[in-house]
Amino acid sequence: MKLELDDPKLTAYALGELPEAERAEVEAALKNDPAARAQVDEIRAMADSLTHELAAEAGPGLTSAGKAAIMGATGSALPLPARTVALPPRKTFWSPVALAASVLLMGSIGLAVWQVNKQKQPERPIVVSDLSEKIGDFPGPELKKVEEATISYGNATVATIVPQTPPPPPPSTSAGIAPAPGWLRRESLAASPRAYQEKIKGVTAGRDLTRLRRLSEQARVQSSQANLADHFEVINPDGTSKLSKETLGETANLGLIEDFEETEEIGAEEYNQIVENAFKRVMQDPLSTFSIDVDTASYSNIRRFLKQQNQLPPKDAIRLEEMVNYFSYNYPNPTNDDPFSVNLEIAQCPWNPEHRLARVGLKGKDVDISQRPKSNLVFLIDVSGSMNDSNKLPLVTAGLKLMVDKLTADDMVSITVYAGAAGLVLPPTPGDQKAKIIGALDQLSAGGSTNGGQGIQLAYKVAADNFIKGGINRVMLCTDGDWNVGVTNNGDLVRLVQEKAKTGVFLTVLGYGMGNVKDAMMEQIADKGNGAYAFIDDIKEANRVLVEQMSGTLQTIAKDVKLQLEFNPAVVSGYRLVGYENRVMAHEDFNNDKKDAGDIGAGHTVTALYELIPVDKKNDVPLVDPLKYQVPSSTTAAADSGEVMTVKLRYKQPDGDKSKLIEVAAKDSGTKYGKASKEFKFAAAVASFGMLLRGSEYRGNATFDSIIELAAEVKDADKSGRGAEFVELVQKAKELTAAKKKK
Amino acid sequence: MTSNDSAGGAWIHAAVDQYEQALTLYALRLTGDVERARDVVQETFLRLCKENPAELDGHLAEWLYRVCRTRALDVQRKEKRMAPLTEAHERTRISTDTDPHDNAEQQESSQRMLKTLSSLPGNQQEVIRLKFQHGLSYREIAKVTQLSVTNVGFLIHTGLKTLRQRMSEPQGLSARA
Repeated sequence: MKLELDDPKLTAYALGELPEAERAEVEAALKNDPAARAQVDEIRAMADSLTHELAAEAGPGLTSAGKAAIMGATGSALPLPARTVALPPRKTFWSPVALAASVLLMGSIGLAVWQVNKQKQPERPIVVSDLSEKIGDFPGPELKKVEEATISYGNATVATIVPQTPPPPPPSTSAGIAPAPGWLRRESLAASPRAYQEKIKGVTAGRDLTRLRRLSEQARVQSSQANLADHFEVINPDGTSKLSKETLGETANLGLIEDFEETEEIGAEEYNQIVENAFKRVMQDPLSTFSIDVDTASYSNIRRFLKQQNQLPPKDAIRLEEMVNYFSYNYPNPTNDDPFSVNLEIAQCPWNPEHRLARVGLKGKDVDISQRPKSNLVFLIDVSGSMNDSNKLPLVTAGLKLMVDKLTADDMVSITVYAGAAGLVLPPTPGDQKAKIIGALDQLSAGGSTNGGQGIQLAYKVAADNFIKGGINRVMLCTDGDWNVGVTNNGDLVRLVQEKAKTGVFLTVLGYGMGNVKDAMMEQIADKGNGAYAFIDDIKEANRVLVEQMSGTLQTIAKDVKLQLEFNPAVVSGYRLVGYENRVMAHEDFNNDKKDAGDIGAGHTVTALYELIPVDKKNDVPLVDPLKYQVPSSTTAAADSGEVMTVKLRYKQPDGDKSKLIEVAAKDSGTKYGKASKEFKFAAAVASFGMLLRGSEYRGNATFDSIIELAAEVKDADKSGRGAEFVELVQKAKELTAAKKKK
Repeated sequence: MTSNDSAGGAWIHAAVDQYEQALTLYALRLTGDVERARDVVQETFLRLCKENPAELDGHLAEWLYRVCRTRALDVQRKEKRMAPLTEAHERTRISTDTDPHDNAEQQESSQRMLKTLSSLPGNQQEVIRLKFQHGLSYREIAKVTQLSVTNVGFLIHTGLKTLRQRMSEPQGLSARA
C-alpha cells in the first residue's frame, strides 16, 4: 500500500487510533517509506507538545454550593468529605512562600535549611542539614544543630525531617584517596577540598602524572561545601521515605529559611576539583606534557556568576586556560602547510618580577566562511522540565536560530530532543529551509525528566545516517547538564561519545543555566567527543560561539594536539604550567598516537603560559633525595645554546591517524614586561585574574587593581572586542570580594 | 433511580472529583461563560445521579462529555449565541483563555502554540482538545460530538497539519535573550 503523506490514516496511526488490521497494514508500508515515518514522528511530536501545553489549562471547577446540590440529589447522607491530604500535587499546593510563611509562623521548628537555588522560586529541593560540629573541617558558616522537625501545613503533617549522621569518610588507600566508582559519587563531609589538596601536594607530580590526573577526574567534591542532601531522609505522612537528592526534588519543596551569613550557594552544580600545578625543578622534571584545550566555558561561566548572580564563582569552576583562551589574540596565521602556527614569547612575569613568563601561542588557520565544507549538524536539545527557565531553552533556540541564519543549502540540519524519552523533532533538512528549521525550534517546550543517554544515541544515529564524507559532521548538545534521572551510566556515556568520535562525528557541548550546571561532566564528554565545551550565559555569547566563531566551532583543522616542553637546566631551574591542570599527560603519551588530546578549530587561538624561575634566582621547590643507583646525568652541548626550552607539538589531520611532529626552540632575550606584546600582557592579566579568584598560592603580588591597570592598557588585544568587558569583570570581582570581607 | 445508599453517593462523589475540572473547562469553551459552564456541568452531574452505575461502566467519560455538550448547546441555542457544531460550519472561537500561568515568564513557544490552536476552525479545535486535553479516543469523541469516527479522524488530521504549517512559519528572526 502506498502511503500518501496527507492521509488521515497516517495521523490515526501516529496517535494509536487505528484498529489492528489497518495498523499492521500501515506499519508494513512504513518500513519502506522514510518520508512517511518522518511524518509520523512529526505528528507525534506535535501531539506531545499539544498535550503538554493544554495540560496547563485548568477548569474553573464547581462551587461548593453546586457540589452540595449534587450530593443532595443522590439522597445519600454523605457530606462532601474534605480532600485527603496525601502529598498534594506540587503546583497548587507547594507554594514555597506560603509554606515558608506557615513554617515561620509555627515558630517552634528549629531548622537550618541549606538554600539550594537563590535565584528563583526553588524548583530544586531544599535540603535540611544535620549540622553536627564534625563539619568543623570546613571553613564554612556557623551551622546550627537540627532536631527532628515536623513541617506542617494547616492541620496536616506534611513531612518529618529526620537528621541522619553523614556516612563515614571513605577508607584511605595508600594513595591517600579512595578511588571513585563513578560520576555521581559524593564525598563525605569530612573530606574537604582542603584535605585533598594537602594529600596531593605530597605527590611528586613528575613521577605520577597519571595518578594526579585520575585524582582530579575522580575527586568529585562539590565546591558548595558538600551537598548535604545526601544525608537526609524525608519521611512522608504515609510512611514512605525518600532519601536521595533526586527524589527530594520531586516531592519536597519545603520552603526557605536562610540561617547563615555567608554561603557558597551554587545549588546542585558540580565541578571537578582542581589541584593547581606546582613548580617543578628542571633537574628533576625536565619535561612538561599536556593536551591543548579550546574550551571557553569557564570564562563565560565565571561571567555568569559575577554579572548575573552577583556572586564570586566557586574555585573549582575557574580554569585558567579556558579564561585565557576565551579571547581572540592577534597571532599570525601559519605560513607553511601546518594547520596552525606556533608562536613563542618570553618576558618578565608581571605578578613576580623575579620570574619570567613564557607564552606558547598557537593559531589555527583561518578558513573563510564561504570555504567551509558541507556540514551535517544534529542539534541535540535537552527539553526536560529544568530547561524551562528563560536563560535555558529560549536561549538555546534563540542562539541556534542565529546560527541557522548563516547556513546554506549544502548544510543538513536535524533536531533531536530528549526529556523522558528521545525524539526526532526535525528530520534532516537542508540549511536553506530556514523557516522549517526555525519552526521546529519554536515548537520546542520543556517538560519531563531527563534521560540524556537515549538522546545522545539518537543524535549520533541521525548524524551517522546523514554522514558527509570529507565534510563536517557534528552533534551539538544543548543542555543545562541536568542528567539526574539516574539511569544513565556516565561511564558508558563517555565511552559512547569517544567511540562515535572515532567514526568522524564530533561533539560540541553548549552549557546553559545556573544552579544545575554539571560542568565536570560536560567538559569530559566534550573532551572525549573531540569537541569543545562552551557555556552560553547570554545571547551575545551564543552569537560569539555560534556565529562569530562558527568556523572554529564547527570545523576542526587539527586533531589530538599535544605539547611537550623540555626546559634547559642551564637557563631555568624551575617552571610552572599555569592552568591546564586536567589536561596534563604522561610523558610517554606524547608519542602515543592512540592517546586522545584536544582539537583546534579553524581560526582558534590557543595559549599556554609557563612561569619560569631563572637559574640565578631563588628556587624553593622541594628537592628529592639523591638516587642511590644512578648519578645525575650531565647536560649536553645543547644546554649551552642559551635556549630556554624546546617546544614539541604533535597533531593529526582531522581525518588522520598518524601524528606529525613540530619542534621549535626559544631563547630568552631578557625582555622586560613593558616591552612585551599586548597579547602577552593581556593573557597574563587574564591568568592573573583567575589565580586571584581562586586564591591561588601562586598569584604573586597581583591585586585586582594591578590587574585592572595592566589589562586596561591592552584591552584591544582581544580582536573580538571583549577586552573591556574583562576589565569590568575584574572590577566586579573586586567589589564582591570587598563586600564579602566586610560581613 | 436515585441511589439512597452510601455506595451510590460515593460513586457520584468520585465522578465529581474526577471530572469536575475537565468538564467545566470543556463547558467553558463551549459556552464562553464561567457561570453558565458551571450550571451546565452541575446539571450534567444531576442527571448522572439518575443513572445506573453498572450501565455506564467503561463509558462514563463518554456519557459525561456527551451530556455536557448537549446541555451546553441547548443553553447556547436558548441564548441564541451560537449555531451547532457541524463539519461544514466554521466559526471563530471566542478565545477565553483561562490560562492560570499567564505570567511574563511564559515561554514564547507555548503562547504561540495555544494562539495558533485558537486560529483553527471551531470544530477542529474542539475535537483536538477532546483528544489531547481530555484524553478521549476517536471513538469516544465520535459519540460525544455525534460525528462519524472518520469525520473525527479527518478533523484531527487537518487540524494538526494546519498547526504544523502555521507553527513553522517564521515569526521574525529576532533573537530573544
